[in-house]
Amino acid sequence: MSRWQYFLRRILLSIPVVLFGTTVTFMIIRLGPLDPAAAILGPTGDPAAYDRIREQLGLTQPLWQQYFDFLFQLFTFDLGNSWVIGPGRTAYELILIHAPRTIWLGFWSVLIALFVGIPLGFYAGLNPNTFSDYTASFGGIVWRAMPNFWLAIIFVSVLSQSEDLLFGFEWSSWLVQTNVVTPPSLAFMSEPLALLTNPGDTWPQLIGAIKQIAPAAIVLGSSSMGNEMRIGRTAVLETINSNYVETARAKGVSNRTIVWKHVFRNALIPLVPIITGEAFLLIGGSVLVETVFAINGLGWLFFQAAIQGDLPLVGSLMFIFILILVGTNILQDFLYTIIDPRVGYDQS
Amino acid sequence: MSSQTTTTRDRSGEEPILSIQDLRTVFYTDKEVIRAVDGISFDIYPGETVGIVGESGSGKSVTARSIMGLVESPGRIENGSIEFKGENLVGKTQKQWRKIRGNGIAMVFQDPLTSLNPVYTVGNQIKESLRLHQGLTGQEATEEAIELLEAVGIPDAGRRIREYPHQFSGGMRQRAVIAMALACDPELLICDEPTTALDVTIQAQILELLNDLQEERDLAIMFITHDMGVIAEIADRVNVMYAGEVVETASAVDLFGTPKHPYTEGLLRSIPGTHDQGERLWTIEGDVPTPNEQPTYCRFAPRCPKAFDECEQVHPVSVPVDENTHDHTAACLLYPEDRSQAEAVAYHESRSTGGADQ
Repeated sequence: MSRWQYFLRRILLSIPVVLFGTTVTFMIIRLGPLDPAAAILGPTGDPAAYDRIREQLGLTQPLWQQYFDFLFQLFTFDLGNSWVIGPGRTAYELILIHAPRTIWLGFWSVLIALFVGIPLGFYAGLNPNTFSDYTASFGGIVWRAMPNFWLAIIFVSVLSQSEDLLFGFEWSSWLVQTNVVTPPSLAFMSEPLALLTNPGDTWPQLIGAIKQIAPAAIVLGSSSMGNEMRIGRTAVLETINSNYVETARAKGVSNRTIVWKHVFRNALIPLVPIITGEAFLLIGGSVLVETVFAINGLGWLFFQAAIQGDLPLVGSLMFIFILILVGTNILQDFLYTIIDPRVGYDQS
Repeated sequence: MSSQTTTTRDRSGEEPILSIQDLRTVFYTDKEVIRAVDGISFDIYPGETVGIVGESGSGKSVTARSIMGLVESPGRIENGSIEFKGENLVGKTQKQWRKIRGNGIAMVFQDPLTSLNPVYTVGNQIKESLRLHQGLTGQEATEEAIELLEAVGIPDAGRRIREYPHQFSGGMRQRAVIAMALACDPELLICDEPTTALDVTIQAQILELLNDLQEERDLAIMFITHDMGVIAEIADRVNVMYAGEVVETASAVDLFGTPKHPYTEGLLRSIPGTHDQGERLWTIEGDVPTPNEQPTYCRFAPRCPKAFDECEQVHPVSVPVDENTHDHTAACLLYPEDRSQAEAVAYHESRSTGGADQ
């Protein structure tokens, strides 16, 4: 079986998974206590208007018909209109407004986890039981142990009073003037070329956007960073004590080659599922962090849609989340086949 | 090579390729200081096979790692010298040692299943050695690697070179590991239980392969095993190790014909299949003690069927088993054989206190 046949099979096999996920989503939002009609009407509505709204929304149809409509629309990427959050606007439109902020946040938090957590873990693993190892490991555990919502609030609180708490250092006016709690302004993204053609104006915008997202990204990346550090350390320790590293040493390979050629690639293998598993963490965790930092991204949108009973929006977002997760899983398997030749495409 | 063809080589004019003198490698743990290798001495001459036998924990592998400079913290070589072609390796930095490793001395490890890096092709790993030690790269290296794989008896080497270790069987992997060691073009090959993880028929093939390679390349081989049968097959001379010390040294013929040290006798009697039907297999009671102090007694005494009172008070040193033999030594108070027990004890006592370094 070739690599492409393998991935074609993986994609086909993921269809039942997506189907199952959307079905569960439908059951939870339709059979649960959410009542969109009441949310639209508000607390003072009269029963007649209530019934009318229910009929307009199609909630009076038989459940099985609603279910098939729901599935059919999602699978044809017809995400429908929002009911409560932005009445009359399409879910697609709303997602397009909120998604870039979440992607911006996710990008930086993954970057922090990858480029701080993994190198730190590898460094600790290569220098086990030294002072720097203990510092890094202890830091990793502490960092990992601080819950997102708590850390986020502490960050907001410290940064908004930074003149008093950080010896006169004023966060909000540092580099560029920004608010602590704000959605990042990503206007410059619509014209990325302006970074080259008009650097004077756009670079401060970029820096401002990074600065706005930095505290939230650190909070969101922190737990996965601690995770990656600890797993990276263990993976390196395990690899460096393996027989093939000793064999390589016995044939006179230099330490540098041993680390970069023989240890690095093998130590990455257990890290792959950790890294891809973060996609899930970023979606779940971002709801909390986005709420605290008022980022108004997908997480915030999902949360609002869920508590207000905006069923098409919740369904669409869940559908997109499911697609992202299934996609990352396929990506993870793809990475595996690249890093580890023992992972085969055959069924044996 | 094997016991049938052994000819006693005249070594009067020949220099040993490896000469170990009074080597002591210790490991510092929180609880105690373990003398994993405690004052051993032996020589290896070009083209010969020296076997090292002993139970688990007797210091065989640490000896090999000491020679390779692979002893890692908390262990270190504390005393003695390892002379390879007249050059003392003890005290060299890791960088200097790395030049010797592979270049002059190569090593084949116990477990072929884990000795190859699973994420690189076999060819890649052989070529790594070729590049390091013979400066070969590119097409030249590939050709040489194919040749090496053919030399160790891997069929269809041109295709196999692009395969990963998990696509090789156990015996094939050990052949590949040997090819990798040979890629360094060594003069001394250290084999640390290379056949232990393999089944018996493959074991015989690997021994035969080592035999052929030795003849072709005039390799000196240091062969570590706990399997007396394998030693009988391959070794010219044998060092028997017990608790970090060499307790008996002899040619393979002498060792199996007339073992002198009670420990060697015990080892030989515990080989399955050398007994009459129905007879219980002989075992040496107890375990190898952990050598954690300067010995002032015989470490084998608690398990020795021939022990007497002095064994607890005098540390035996390696002495010729009798006046007329020089290539057969034993570290036991019963020897030299031609002296009375009291004389022998006194001889050991004077040697061990006079010769002690601390």
